[in-house]
Amino acid sequence: MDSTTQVLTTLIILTAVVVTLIGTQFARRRRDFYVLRALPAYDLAPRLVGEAVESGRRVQMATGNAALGGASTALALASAEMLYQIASRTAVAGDPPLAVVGESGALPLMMSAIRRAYTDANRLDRYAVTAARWAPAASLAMSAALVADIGDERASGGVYVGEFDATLALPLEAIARRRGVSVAGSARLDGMAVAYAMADEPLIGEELFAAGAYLGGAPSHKAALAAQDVLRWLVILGIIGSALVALRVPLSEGLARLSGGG
Amino acid sequence: MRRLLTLLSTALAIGVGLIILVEQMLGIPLFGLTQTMLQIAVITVAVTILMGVFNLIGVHGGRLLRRRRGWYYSLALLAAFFTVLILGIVGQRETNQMLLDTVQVSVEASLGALVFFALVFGAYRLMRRRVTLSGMIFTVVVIVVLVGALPLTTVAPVAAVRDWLMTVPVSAGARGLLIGIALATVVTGVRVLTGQERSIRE
Repeated sequence: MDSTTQVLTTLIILTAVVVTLIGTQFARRRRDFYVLRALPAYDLAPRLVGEAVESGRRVQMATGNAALGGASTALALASAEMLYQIASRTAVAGDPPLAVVGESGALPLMMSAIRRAYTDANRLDRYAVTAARWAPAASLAMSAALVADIGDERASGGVYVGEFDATLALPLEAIARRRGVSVAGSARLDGMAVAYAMADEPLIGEELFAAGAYLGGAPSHKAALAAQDVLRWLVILGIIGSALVALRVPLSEGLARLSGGG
Repeated sequence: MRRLLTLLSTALAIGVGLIILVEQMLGIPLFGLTQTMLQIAVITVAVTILMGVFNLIGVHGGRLLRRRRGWYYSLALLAAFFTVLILGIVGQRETNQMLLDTVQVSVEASLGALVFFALVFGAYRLMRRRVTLSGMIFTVVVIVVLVGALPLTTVAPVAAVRDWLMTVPVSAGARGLLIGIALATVVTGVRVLTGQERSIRE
């Protein structure tokens, strides 16, 4: 890592730490500290769970190839938070969501998320260790497993948040054929495009990481979104600034030419 | 007890995260701790594969024993799993490879073809469900990209539009999305380092 990258990365991390810690304190004191814009996908999630509970069926949730211990660790944590939020709603009256992971590294995380939700709701008696299951990582095989589970377990809706490719189309189509509701988002661009076209409500880009703030409303999650916004603006200013610097020489030459100097 | 375990796991996550961050970012070697921790992580991931295998057997074994809906698929899965496992143990690698080439590849090829139909259905559903400006742009771009990819001289102007689309707006949009995901990843990492991430904590 060269020194410029080291300095920039350190600055980004320090900014994120400072904004997250200060933002958490502000959000604890003032509930309107950070007003969230409407995201239809997160508005739809309670309806999705409600329909599952009313019909006595289950919600399918999959994380794709996101797993702990690699580049997709943060994505796996975001998926686990989404699963916790879904499970804490189904825990009130229904069976746990059917969590399917493509990487075994995500399995303990998802088991823990469901167990935590059912423990918090004092409904541990309804928790089953097989609520989270592993479907081997090859994307086509996992999509086939998801489609089979939708039929066998009579899933009423699907939440697909993680790392998917174009094969995400298969479970989304299976859910649509059963007139179910789906929310989907992927960190991969091909999966993102499929989610946009086929899911009832898509999650695009960094929206994947916002489940805690939208469905849980915890101050630390809201502060994390505030930190993302601050960093985003810094990146935008950086891009505009560097573009202006790059344009400085041609611009000054052009202006000189216009004024008759060249 | 639960509180103590929570504190311990939080301290462990923060400690390991900070050590690796300092060593990677600042280039300060901390007694080679990073290598040791990465080795521990690799071993842990290997253990989770075993966990996954037991989970797979548990889920499908349970379905088979209780004769639940689709139990015959579970039977096929378990039979395939144990066949490949036994062939691997007795050293029949060629047979395993043959099974992979003939069965697995054929099945995946068929599934790959199904993805195409699912995508066509998705495009149809997109326009049927909500005719919005963004939906229309999406559909038009898909058509332009598909037509532009045809190897015909008559569609050369469309191919030029396709190339421009891929180089300028698609590339810019993709980079924007990836930057957004990268920033969210950094912030999630910071949540782990500051002990705010409860998936690690509990």
